[in-house]
Amino acid sequence: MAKNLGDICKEWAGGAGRPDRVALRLVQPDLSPRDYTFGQIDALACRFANVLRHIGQDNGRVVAIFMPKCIEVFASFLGTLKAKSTVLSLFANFGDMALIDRLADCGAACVVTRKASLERLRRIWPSLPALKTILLIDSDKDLDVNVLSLPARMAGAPGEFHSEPVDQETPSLIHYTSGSTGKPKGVLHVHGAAPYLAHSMAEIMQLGRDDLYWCTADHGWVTGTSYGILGPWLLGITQLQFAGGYDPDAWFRILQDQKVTVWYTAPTALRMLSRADDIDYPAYAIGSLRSIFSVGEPLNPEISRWGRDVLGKDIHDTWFQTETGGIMIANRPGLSIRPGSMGKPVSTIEAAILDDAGNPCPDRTSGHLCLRYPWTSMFRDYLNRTDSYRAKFSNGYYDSGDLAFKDEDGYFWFSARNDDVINTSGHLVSPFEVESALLELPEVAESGAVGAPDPVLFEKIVVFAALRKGVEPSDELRMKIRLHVANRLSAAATPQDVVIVDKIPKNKSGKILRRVLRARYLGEDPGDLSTIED
Amino acid sequence: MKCREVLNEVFRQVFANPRLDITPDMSPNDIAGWDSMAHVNLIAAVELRFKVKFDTKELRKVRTVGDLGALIDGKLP
Repeated sequence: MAKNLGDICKEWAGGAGRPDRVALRLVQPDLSPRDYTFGQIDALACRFANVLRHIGQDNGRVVAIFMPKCIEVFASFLGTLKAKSTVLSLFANFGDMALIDRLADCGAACVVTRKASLERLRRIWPSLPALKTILLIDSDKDLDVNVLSLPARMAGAPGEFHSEPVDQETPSLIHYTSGSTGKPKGVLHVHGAAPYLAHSMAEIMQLGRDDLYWCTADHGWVTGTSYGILGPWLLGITQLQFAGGYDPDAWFRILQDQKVTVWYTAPTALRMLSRADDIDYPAYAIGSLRSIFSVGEPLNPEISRWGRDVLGKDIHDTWFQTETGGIMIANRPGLSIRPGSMGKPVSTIEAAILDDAGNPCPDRTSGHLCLRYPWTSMFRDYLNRTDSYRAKFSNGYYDSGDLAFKDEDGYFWFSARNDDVINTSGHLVSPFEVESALLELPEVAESGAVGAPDPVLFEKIVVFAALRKGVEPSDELRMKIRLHVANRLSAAATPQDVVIVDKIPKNKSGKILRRVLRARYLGEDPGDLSTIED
Repeated sequence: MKCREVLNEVFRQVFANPRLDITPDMSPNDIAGWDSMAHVNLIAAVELRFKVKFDTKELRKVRTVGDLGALIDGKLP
């Protein structure tokens, strides 16, 4: 048996004997804060669990959370776990295709959302045979027998719930991640993840009970659940969350006014902040801020220097994946930072750089970044694709799909992805999904998508479109292409550049030669073209 | 908001919602998908449609549909 993760605000380190301590400071877009104690969060989660039980969505169902950051995210996340159903955590900006791929693949039976998203869900509902119920967080009354008011049900639900018993392997959470081919894969996590999340958070973040911790990651991202919901509460730490979007002034007023002590954010956000040249950062009193961490893409040395020179702080880069569930390699206070390096592995993690045959690479030689398993927060399956899951493991190692090297002092350095997946502002985007979306447009005959280096996004999405006969290129068509991809997948997948071409290079089997597209775009040598189709 | 009708078309296209009817008081909280990243697309689409350009300082003040409409109105002849 294992403790139910849904009970972290009551029975774990965070909640035990301290229900009156503040668990969450939720800062609204107008910067007004509202505090919730561990006891209040747990009671809300209990009410939500009772709602799920009452409507028959407990015990093994998949409940999707599809809304921007708000108190209902936390209540429904923990309440779903208490009821022994599995959380599917989604970005609120997902488009139709992204939603269908995810909700259908995992057979989600319930979606928790807001009225503004109902139109989109109704549109795709015919493609989702397993979906039975939508719970609206901002409707006072039911709209029909399947679209229900969450507030009305929460008001009548008991604030206590005897959580369903779980074991280490009971599914808890699904995040989807993209590969270079095929649809996104559902990464399955379990209730037994807790020990590693707590351990990694304590070792890397070095938090104490008096800290106020802020993770800016959205809950649609694994960082937003592992270290934006579970990690801090497993340690009994008060966390701050902001219900607004990216805004340099708002973010620094929050750091200043709320006296945040530890901040976990993303390189793209830091790069955008560093370019906001109308913001006078030294004018903000952020003396309470002890540590800054980042995750998502490699942190470029320029931003490390900006952190030191402008903010007077070190920025500690960390590395992990949806599949690892928790931080594997990191810079941390007490470890000398080498700008551009991922840092060193967490003390209980053995990381290795292996060649194609599985042998260790010499220092400073790039190879496959692999991790010796197991650890408790590692994923347990790719939903409906167990063969792909098994293919990630060999000889006791998990292959991350990243290429990296290790220096003579044990620091790890990211080199590149080992596939065509595009990492744009920390979001992994499949070129296949982008290409598929493009082909839905009547103007597009052929499509290709690649990642290209970008000073802010790390990689930007560049699409290539061969137009149908008679279609003329125009700025309006380029905008239509951008918006179509954004609406079918997500705003994060928006192409930053649309290149109109006569033909997409393919090999004789019809496979898109993305390396040729990328090389041409970057003005580099495309290499061997002997396999290219005539 | 002089530009309301055309701006409504832009919102419908950017947020793929053919039934969306904007009002000046609408904020990202009222329109599905209007987050920081989608905001970049919205501005790009507005700039293309109205043939105007905004600077970063101007955009930072946009909190609602009405704010954006006023910004556009101020740029139009």
